[in-house]
Amino acid sequence: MAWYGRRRSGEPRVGARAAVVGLGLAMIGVLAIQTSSTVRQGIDIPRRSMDGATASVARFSSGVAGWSIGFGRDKESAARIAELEAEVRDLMRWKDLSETMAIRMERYERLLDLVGETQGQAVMARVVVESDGPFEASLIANAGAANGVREGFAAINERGLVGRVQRVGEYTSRILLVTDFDSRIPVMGSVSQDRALLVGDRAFGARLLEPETPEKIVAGEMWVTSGDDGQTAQGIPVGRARLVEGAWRVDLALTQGVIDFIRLSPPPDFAKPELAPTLGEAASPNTDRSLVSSAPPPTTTSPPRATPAPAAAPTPGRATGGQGGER
Amino acid sequence: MSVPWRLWIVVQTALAWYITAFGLQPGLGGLWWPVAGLWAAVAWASFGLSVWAAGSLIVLGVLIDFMTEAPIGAWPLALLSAYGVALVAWDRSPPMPMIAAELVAVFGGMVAAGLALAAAGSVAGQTGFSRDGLLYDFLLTAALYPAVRFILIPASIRGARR
Repeated sequence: MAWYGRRRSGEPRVGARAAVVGLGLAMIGVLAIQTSSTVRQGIDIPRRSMDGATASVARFSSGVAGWSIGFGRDKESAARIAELEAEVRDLMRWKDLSETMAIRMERYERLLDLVGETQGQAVMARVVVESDGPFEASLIANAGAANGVREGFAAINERGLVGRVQRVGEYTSRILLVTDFDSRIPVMGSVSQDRALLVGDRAFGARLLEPETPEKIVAGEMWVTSGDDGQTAQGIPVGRARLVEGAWRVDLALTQGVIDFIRLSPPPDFAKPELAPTLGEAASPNTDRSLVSSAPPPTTTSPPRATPAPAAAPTPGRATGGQGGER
Repeated sequence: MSVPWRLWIVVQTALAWYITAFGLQPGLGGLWWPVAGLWAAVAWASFGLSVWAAGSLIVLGVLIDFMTEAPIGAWPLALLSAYGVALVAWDRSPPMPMIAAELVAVFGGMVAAGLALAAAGSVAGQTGFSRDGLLYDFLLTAALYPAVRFILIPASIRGARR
C-alpha cells in the first residue's frame, strides 16, 4: 500500500519524526507563552469568534437531535405543550403580582429614603452550548454585546445563580459556571447571616472558603449572594450548605436541573464613592444647635447628598427582571 | 500518503470535530461523551508515521481547545502524545497480535493524553484540572472503539496487520 509502504520497507523517516516531535515541542511553547496576560488577551479575540462558531454548530446539532429524538412522539409533545401553556398562564398571574409588589416596594423605599440596589435592564437568553471540559465549566448563551450584555453580568435562572459572564461576543456570551475552579462569589447564609467566599469545585460543586463564623452555619440553610463584591445583586439563591468531612460544601441550586434559559443581569448600580463631595467642603461643622431636631435648620446650605447613579424609572418589564422578582 | 487518503483524514477530522461539538449541547454537559480525537489518533497511527495525520490532529486539537476553553495547545499536545504511543504500539504489530497492539494503543494513548492534558494545564498556569469527567469520557471512548475502528481503519490495513 502506498501510504505505509515506506514504513514497511524499514526505511527510517527521520524527517517526519523530527517534524512530529517539533510540532509537539511547539505546542509546549504555545502553552508556555499563555502564562502572559497579554498573550491571553490576544487569544481572547479569536476565542470570541470561535464561541459564535461553536454556538452555531451546537444549535445545528441540537436541531438534528431534536428532530430525530422527537420523531413519532406527537402525543407526548402535545401533552407537554398543554402543560407548559397552563404553567405560563399561572406564571402570568404571578408576574402581575410581582409587578405590583415591585412598584409598592419602590414607593416604600422612597418613603424611607432608602438607597436600594438599583438594577439595570436584564437580558433573557437561551443556553446553546454547555462545556464541561477538564479545564473549565462554562456555557455559551445566545445573547451578546449587540443585546446589551457586558462582561461581569450575573447569569441567573429560576433556581438561582448559574455563573457570571466571562467573555462577550457580538451575539454570544460565555458564562463561567459557579462550579468552575476559577469562580469566586461572595455569599452569605440566609439563616446564620455568616459570610464566606463560594469557590467552585468540580468534584463537589462548590465549597465555602473562609467563613467568618463557621460555628453559626446551619446545615441545610440556603446560601445567597451577599453582593459584597459589587458585581452581583444581593439575595440570589446559590445552594444549601452541607458539612462534609469538617468542611462546608454547597449543594448548588443550578445542578438540580437542566440549564436552558437564563437571565443575564447587570451588576447593581452603586454610587461611586469618588463622586460624593468631601466632608466639610460645602457645609459648616455641626454645632450643638444644629444637631437638635427641634432647632431651626442651619443657615448654611446643606451639602448635596451622594445619590446613586441614575436608574431608569420602574417599569413592569424592569420589575420582573430586577432583584425584586428574584426574591 | 496518497491524496485520497489525505482527503479521507480531513473528512475524519471534520467528523471528529462535529462529534465533539454535538456533545456540547445543553443537557449533555454532565453526560459521558467520547473523545473522538482519540479514536482518530489511535486509528491514524495504524497507517504509520504521517506528518499530515499529525497536522490534522493539531488542527482538531486547537478546535477542541477553543470549544472547551482549554489553553491553546493542550488538546493538540494530548492528541499528539496519544498518536505517539499508538505509533509505538502499532509498530510492534506484527509480531505482536493486532488486538494486543490496539489495546496498548487505546489505553496507552489515553494515559498519555491524560498526562499531557494535566501537564499542559500546569504549563499554561491553569487554576485546576477536573479528572473525573475526563476519566469517564475516556472510558466511553475505549468502550466504543471496537465499533468505530471499522470505519476509521481501512480493511486493507486490518488485513495486512493480521
